[in-house]
Amino acid sequence: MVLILLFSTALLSACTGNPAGGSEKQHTTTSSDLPVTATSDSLIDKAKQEGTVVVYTSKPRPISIKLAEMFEAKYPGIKVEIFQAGGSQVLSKVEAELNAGALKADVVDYTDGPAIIDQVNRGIIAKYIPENADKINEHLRDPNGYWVSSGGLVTATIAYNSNIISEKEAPKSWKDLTDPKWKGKISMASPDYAGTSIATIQGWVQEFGGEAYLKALGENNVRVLKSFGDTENSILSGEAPIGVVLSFRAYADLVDKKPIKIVEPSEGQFGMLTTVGINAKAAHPYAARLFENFIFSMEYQNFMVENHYYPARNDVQPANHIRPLSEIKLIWPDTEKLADPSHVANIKKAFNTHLKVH
Amino acid sequence: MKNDRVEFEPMKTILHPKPDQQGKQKTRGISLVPNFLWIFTLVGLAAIVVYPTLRILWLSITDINTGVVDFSIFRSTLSSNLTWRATLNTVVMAAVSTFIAVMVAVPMAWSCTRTNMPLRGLIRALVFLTFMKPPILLAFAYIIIFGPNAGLLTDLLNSFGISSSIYSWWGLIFLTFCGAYPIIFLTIAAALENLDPDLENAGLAHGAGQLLTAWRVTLPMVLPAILSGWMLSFVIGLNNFGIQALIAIPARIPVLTTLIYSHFSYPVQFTAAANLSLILIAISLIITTIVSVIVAKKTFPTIFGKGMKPAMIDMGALSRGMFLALNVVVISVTLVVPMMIIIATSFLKTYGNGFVISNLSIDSYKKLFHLGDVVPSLTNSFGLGMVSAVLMVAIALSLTYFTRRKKWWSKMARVVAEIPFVIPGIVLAVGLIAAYSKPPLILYGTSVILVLAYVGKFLPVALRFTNNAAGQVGAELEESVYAHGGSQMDWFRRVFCPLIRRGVVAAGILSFIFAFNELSSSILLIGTGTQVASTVLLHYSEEGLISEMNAFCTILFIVTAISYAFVYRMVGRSFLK
Repeated sequence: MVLILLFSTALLSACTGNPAGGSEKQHTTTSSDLPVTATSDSLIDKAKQEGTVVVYTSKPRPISIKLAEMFEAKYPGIKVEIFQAGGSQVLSKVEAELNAGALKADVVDYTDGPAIIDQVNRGIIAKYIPENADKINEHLRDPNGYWVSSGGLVTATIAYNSNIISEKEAPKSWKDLTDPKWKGKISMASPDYAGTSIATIQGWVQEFGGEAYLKALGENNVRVLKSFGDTENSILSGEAPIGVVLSFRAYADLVDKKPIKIVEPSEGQFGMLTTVGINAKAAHPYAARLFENFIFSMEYQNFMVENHYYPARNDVQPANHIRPLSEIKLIWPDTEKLADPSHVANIKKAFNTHLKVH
Repeated sequence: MKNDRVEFEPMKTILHPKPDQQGKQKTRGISLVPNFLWIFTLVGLAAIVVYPTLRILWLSITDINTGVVDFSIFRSTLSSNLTWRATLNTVVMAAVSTFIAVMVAVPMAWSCTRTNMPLRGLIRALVFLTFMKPPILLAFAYIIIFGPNAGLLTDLLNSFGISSSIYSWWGLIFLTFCGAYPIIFLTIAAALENLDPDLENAGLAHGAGQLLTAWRVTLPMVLPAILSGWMLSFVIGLNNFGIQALIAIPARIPVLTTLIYSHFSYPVQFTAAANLSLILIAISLIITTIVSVIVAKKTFPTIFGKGMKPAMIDMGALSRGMFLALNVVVISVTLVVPMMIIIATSFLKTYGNGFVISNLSIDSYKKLFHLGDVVPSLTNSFGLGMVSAVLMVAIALSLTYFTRRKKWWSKMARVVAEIPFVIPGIVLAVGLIAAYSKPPLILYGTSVILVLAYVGKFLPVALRFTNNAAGQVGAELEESVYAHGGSQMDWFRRVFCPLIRRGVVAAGILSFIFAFNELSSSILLIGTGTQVASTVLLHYSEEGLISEMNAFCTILFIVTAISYAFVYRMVGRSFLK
């Protein structure tokens, strides 16, 4: 038995267990000593002493890995430890750690953007206004300085399979999705698993005044899938040739020459808030602030542009194949309502009832 | 089952319903080692199973913000109509699919182990491979085949007047069945091969005929194995989020797991999720208790110290053909066809442009390896799987040993050990994070926490196999050891362990596979930078990286097949038996 124990311990240390960094290094800095805003230059020294920044992110995996590499290249000596997962999973991990009384992340990056406001209200997020904050789109930052956009703007829109549906007959508006000719041919992500879907639903409720639109979607048998990835696959395979998509992912498919076309709905696309915040009790507070500054650096912004996001900064232009924000109609789902957990629970329930999910 | 160290008289074919009843004087000579063993076992169970489960229970009756006991969410969960609809759906889904699985697995296992059916060795190996591969691969494949509108064979289905797709009750039941039948098959096959042939010979001698003997003698003898395999697959069927998320959500069939996971998005409601998990725990405990009572009454010791193998049954050409057809059809629809589809899809240049020559390439693999997740995640999955399997077998063996010795706590410990198996992984993860994030024991954030999750979750699998193996060892053997002047340790080390070795190897391999494929607790427990294969697959699917996902599925399948071949060479066929 002892042998077995020794053996397991040996194996365990052999496999690449990565002890979450930083927990061994507790800082005594209290939040009141920490700057509310700071230039990167002023943060570097202390950040390097900390040596690590722990980031929980729901950005797509290839993008988050590349961003970590870019940060490490720019600030040698500071290691970025990334936990990357789907939006709801990152949020759940953070909540589970908070429940246990020990949030390990220094920086959190949510696709369920408004969820951070609830956490700000609970005192979990530090106040910090990053460098270049004045250049950030006003919809993408907290007027009180607790959260900012996670670097790029994602919009929710409609896309369809161009092998199956011609441009002429394709839906032109959100309203068109309720046309009986598309019955059973549309899919979207469930708000129960994909947080961004909640904002889309809030957008519909705002735009069409109440739940009538949800009811119409339900009557048109709109199929609810687990994630936006599943929706994308279902458009491409033709399983449901029309879907509610996130723009950057649809543009990536377009660039890959996959059979997909993106619709500019006449009512407008929905602006999705994805947010970044700093743990008020971060183990690496300076590195965290340096990382948040880095998000609004030109290189990070340009990388977001390369990956088909709308840049968060007003002075950076989106990629050529993407219509600039000035040319599209954008509807902003009400952030305050989305930050209210009970309101969100209600619209999720309404959605699930009307779309007969459960 | 020969053991050359101890000589035995051939025993009479008397059934002993309770192997331990004759040996009540077992208080003699308890040595230091077993004492150490039971402390180790109890501490392990407390740390891995009891404490995290208690944290979940606590979570389900407290207000998460204030930490005060509050039953209001508990009450509203239990009074919700949706909760009970989902519960009913879950039970129906698991019951129907595992019932079909038993109906299919029994004749398959019998024909593969006891008859002269051709290809039986190959079929058995393929069933094992079906069991080893990540369960979610089948769901991916069948969405391609029977997905609505564009599925390869959906039109065919529709031309029969069935306007349906894989997103339906039959899809859900079929895919649950696919995961269930290999487990039942493997359990029954093992039992069939270890049977005492004397009883069957008696049946034959009395003129019962081969089929009647199989029905009246063999079947009752393997009934405990059937029940035990059924129970395991039933509990797995209750709690298979991977498949249920892909099928039940679009099929609009609320089940408990999807309901539980829906509380893990904003606004995150751990309490409601923990409450719903209690229902799953209750169902599983009820089933486990009922089956344990039945099995305890019916387990016959079948290893008496004789080296005789059960006789092979010579079937007629017609029966051979029929049994072979059944086996081939099941293997084809649960392994060969879906895997071919996944492999073919992984070689498409552009997913969505169809299966044509001009659309073939290895781009997906290039893209996959460019992402750089394959090697590290596989290494992690292997390492963690191995460590977990070793620990699981150690604890399971020890528990089995003490259960045989009728320690008062061992029965209780066995029931307790069943609990985490049915707790949805993500809820278990919350329990583990709550339990091990703060001093004195900070394990969360290290790989140890993943090992705890895997061991806690899949211990019942290891237990069932060690227990089946141990249950077959007759009590006479133990008495003979004492009669020959041997001590308890002699019995344990020189007789008991060698006899159940095959069962132990099987337990280890199966535990490893479960740990390797575990997804839902891993999602929250993996640390920064650490990925395991199953979570990588999930991310690809959620991010719409379908080409990379199919390429990774193919690689996983090939790795599975290679490890299978490797184990086969190392251990020989015996681990299957």
